[in-house]
Amino acid sequence: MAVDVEGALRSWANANPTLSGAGKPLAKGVLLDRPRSPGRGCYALVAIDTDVDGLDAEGITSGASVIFTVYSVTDREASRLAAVALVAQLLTLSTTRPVVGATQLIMAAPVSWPEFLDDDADEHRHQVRATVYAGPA
Amino acid sequence: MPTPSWAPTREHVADYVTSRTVDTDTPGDDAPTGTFFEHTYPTGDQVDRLIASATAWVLNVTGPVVTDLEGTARDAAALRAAALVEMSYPERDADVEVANVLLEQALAARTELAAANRAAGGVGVGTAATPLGCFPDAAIWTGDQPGWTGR
Repeated sequence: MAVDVEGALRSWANANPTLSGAGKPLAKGVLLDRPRSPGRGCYALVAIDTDVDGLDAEGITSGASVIFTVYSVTDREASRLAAVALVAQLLTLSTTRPVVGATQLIMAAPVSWPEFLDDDADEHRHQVRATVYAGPA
Repeated sequence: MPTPSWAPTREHVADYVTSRTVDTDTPGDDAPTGTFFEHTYPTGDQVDRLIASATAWVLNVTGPVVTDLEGTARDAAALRAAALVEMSYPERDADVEVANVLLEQALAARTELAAANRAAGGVGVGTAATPLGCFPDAAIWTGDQPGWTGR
């Protein structure tokens, strides 16, 4: 049974007290669209790039190649640190295996190191790519 | 200068820049709240100061506003305060463009308000002080010592 990997990742990140919330690296959390007013904190957009075949093991039914784009309106270092924090938390999925609603996130592998997007956008951005596997809770 | 009764509230200002009323500290939340408070950017206290500035900006030209035009005065001050929100606390480049549009609208609203206020019997105040007279030309100082020619 396929599960909502994108939605589960968003809910997991936004409820992660190490990652999101006031004073945390990704203060505004993970959203689907750019927020109206990000304030001075960082945020990330998540999007499924491609679905990948699920593994027939350990309850995995869904896999997705996911792109996180981490934004900062203040400075490049803030978006880099937020992206690094996001990577660190993605790497814990294989041990914590969090349940988010009807979905269990099982692992993220591989996870890319944050890549700075060097363009003329008015917000500093780093991109993280990960392949995430999940299954029903 | 006492705050007039028609001075806009945070909510009046928010009506023109609703996007800036999002709780910036709640992860994943992008719903406008319709007002400014400690978790918006700018905060409610910061907006209060901009409201005071915008209200004075209107009053300095209109003088006391007649009762029938208080709503118009509130709108003009709210527009000005909203512009200051975007200009003083920009998050993205586009915010400055929004600010410029709001500034123009506020200026037009104040100009119309001042004219309407004078027509309704209000006391008009110019944008610059009108001189009532002037000092005479300065005399050429010839010095304190005999023989001094003032050169």
